[in-house]
Amino acid sequence: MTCPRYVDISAYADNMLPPSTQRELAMHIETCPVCQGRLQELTMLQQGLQALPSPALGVDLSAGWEARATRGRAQRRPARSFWGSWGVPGLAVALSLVSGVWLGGLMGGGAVAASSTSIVRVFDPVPPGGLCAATELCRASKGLQ
Amino acid sequence: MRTLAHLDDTECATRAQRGDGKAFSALVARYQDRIYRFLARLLRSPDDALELTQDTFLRAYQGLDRWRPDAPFKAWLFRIARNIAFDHLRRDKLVAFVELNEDIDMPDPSGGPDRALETAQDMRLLEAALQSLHAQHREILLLREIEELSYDDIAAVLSLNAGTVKSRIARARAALLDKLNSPSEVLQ
Repeated sequence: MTCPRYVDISAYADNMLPPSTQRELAMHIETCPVCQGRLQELTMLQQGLQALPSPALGVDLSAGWEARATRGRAQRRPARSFWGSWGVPGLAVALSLVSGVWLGGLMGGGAVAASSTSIVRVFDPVPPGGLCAATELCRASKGLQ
Repeated sequence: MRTLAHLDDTECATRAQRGDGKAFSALVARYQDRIYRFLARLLRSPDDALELTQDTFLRAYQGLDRWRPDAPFKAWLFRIARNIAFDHLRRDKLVAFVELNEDIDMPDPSGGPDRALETAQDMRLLEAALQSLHAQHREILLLREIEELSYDDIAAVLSLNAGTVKSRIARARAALLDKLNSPSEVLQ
């Protein structure tokens, strides 16, 4: 048997090959110093990594979890429907708009019926009570004949 | 206070899904050190690891409805932790993400440790070599060698097929052995 690929020796070290393949490789490795060396490296690496000192958390997160979980549960409440979320504020806005239009309609007659003369006066270049330098021009600008 | 230590992960998670806060608390107690250890080595920052460990359990709690008993809870939890960690690494641009090419032939490592890694200096070298690995190699070695997850569980955590898990583990080991072979580069 030729030497197995490195990937297979690696899986062999993890005992993750199918049982028949695992047996075949075991028989080969027993007689092959090269593969024995590779397997030994992998085993040393595994042992070294497992022996590394673990970083310590230092706090117990589970102790306060129930209170935290309760808050979390509040956060994962199912989303309200569109009408549940926006129904009441939407209705209030719609009512305000309708009542505004209605009230505007009640008062609107007078405002709309303002005479064209009074509108013109708003833009009159001569302020009320001011002196007019040229009478004919002032008459024309005020629309007076 | 009743203890739930006798219940397995699936039973605890099922109870937690039904709203049993103590059952979820038992799962936190069972996995908090492992998740923290995994994140601390993956992120290379104990402070970030603490914060993301809490995020992992909060997200797990909020997503409990999505867990199904046919998936090991452990793999599901590590998957959440791993995704949170990589989001963090990407966001802070702490690591350059280059897709690993799984198809190219893998050369054998050029001779690794010729004796057991025993002394404190050996351990320091090994830790430094592990930290200097590509993040995707580091995570798979942590899951396999330290957390002792099976290939199937690792495949579930990383969303890979079993064949890719097998080859990526071998590549990660070869890369780590190469690093150990150049201690001056690793420890500088």
